[in-house]
Amino acid sequence: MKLMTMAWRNVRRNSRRTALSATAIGLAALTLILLFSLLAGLTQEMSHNLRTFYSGEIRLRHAQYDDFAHLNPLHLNVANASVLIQDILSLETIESVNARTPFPASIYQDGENLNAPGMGMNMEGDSMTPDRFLVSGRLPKAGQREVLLGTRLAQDLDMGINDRFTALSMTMRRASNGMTFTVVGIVSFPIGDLNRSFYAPIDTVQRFLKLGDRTIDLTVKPQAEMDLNLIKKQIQQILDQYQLTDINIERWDEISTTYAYLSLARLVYFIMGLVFYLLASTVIINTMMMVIFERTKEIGTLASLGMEPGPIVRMFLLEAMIISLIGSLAGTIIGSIITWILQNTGIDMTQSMQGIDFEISGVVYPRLTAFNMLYAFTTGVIVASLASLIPSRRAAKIKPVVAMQSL
Amino acid sequence: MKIALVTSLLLISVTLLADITAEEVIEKMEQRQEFKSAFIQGRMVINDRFGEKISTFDSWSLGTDNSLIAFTSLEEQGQKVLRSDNDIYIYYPDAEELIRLSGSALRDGMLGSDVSYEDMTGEKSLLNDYRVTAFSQEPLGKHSTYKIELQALRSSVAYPKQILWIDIDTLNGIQAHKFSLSGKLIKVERVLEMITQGDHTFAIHSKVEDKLKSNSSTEFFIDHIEIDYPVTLDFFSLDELTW
Repeated sequence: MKLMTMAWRNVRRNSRRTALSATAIGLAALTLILLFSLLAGLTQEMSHNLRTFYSGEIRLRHAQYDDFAHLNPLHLNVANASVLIQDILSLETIESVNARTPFPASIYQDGENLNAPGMGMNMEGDSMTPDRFLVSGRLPKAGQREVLLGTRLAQDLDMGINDRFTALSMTMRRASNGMTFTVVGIVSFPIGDLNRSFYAPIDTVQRFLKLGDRTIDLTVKPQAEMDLNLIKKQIQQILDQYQLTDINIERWDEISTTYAYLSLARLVYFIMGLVFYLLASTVIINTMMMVIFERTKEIGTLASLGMEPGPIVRMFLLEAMIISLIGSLAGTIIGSIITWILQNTGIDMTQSMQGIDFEISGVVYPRLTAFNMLYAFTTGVIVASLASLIPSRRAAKIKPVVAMQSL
Repeated sequence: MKIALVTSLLLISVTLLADITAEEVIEKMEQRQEFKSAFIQGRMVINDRFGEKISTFDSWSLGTDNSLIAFTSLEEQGQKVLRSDNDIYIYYPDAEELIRLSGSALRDGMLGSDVSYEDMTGEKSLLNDYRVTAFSQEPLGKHSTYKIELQALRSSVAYPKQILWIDIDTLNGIQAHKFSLSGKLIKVERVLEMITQGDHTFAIHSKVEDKLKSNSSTEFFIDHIEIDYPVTLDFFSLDELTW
């Protein structure tokens, strides 16, 4: 208790130096909170976007499709799609199953061709819920040659509701085909890349690409909180019944390489966090060294009065701990407040993300988590305290006679 | 003795070449392929890394500037490609407008084949687009051929350089290599079977390989041909195309 009192008194002796050391630790804590919260926000955002706009919770796709995706291999498809959809829907664990067929196309306009990806989808039931993102118009009707245009594509084509365009593409058997579509809606998805496409009813696209009852993807949405691996097994049993051995069933987090990179980024950030604190701790080490040099006489006096090296080390350790506690706490609180504000307002990265094919929305919302706050706070205290061991041990080695000579 | 033999062979070769110029060889070859009008039924067999695809077609032509191809195979049924002068139009049954090909779209393969739409355009005679830069004789398989190298006269020509192999006896084109501006071989065209009707010869089986694609070739088979088929210029109009 006496040691604590002495340490606290020493901390208050030079308040400006204490403030400097605490600020260094505080800034490190604040930066870490912001970085981790941003990463958590990105991870959550990407997870949601992948499941909603790209793969669904579980995706069925021909095993070889991805190897030849650049060649538009429509013949590598999921056959008997409507039968499979019904069979998978009959499982109690499943909420919805939808067919999606992405395809490259070029849009013919005034003698020129503009490349634009197209997507065949179930307008009413797909997890992309295009009705939520309609800017104007309505959803295309099944069987009709109607499309939704992404906002960017609409700008590029200078088209609006009721305009028509002819799209050219390759059919399943690699013949060319052209079809004229009417724009019935303009859609603005939160991911910029998706707004460069056009979206047509799946049955219209199947007719355009001469796919019959085939699709490139089946996206599966399970009932809430279901074990995705269990559902994969159930779907596999259905595929086995039809001896469909060349269809991959993949969880959303097995598909995206970007998501895997985010997991890797989290590990890198943890290491970066430690480095931040080590750098910030050099300020504490420096402070403690200065304190020890200034108080050599005092340390010598304490030692000559019978204070053992152990308590001397603990006293300086406590000093460092108090400073790092103050710094970490302040940094964590300020960082959390800033993150909380950004969590509600979002960070608009629309301009900087233009042209980047990334499954993240233009506005990123950092996510404050208890774990991140705790990590930033405790790591700050522990690293800074441990770093102060170096000067503290030096203080304990000061001999009373040598200390007196410094007078 | 050897020197004398080689010298005499060279002299014979030079004498033979002196009898006919490269331009005359090309003109005679083109004369044998010319006809007023024709109707052709044929097949296009496209081979690529994913397998074989067969498209059947009916084709009408009038002179060298007008042709119409109507695809009859199930996959492309109703699709038509019209060449009128140097313009190319495509008609798709599900499209409400005619597609006029221009720019880079002309370099696309016709229905995914190794023959580009650009290959369908060009002047009546090769000599309007190219000048001869080299002329020699060369055996090609069982054929004795004239080997003629051509350089494009204008940058707008599809292939800046071509090499032709023309049968010495029949003056039929046997093979053609087409090159890019950098000298890269882009296409190889080979005639695998020909028939003769009167003064005309027709390649009834030919093969085109696009060297920019891997494992890709297109074979053309002519199953039926009628020369001087009664067809008028109106038949090759845009109105007729959408009919």
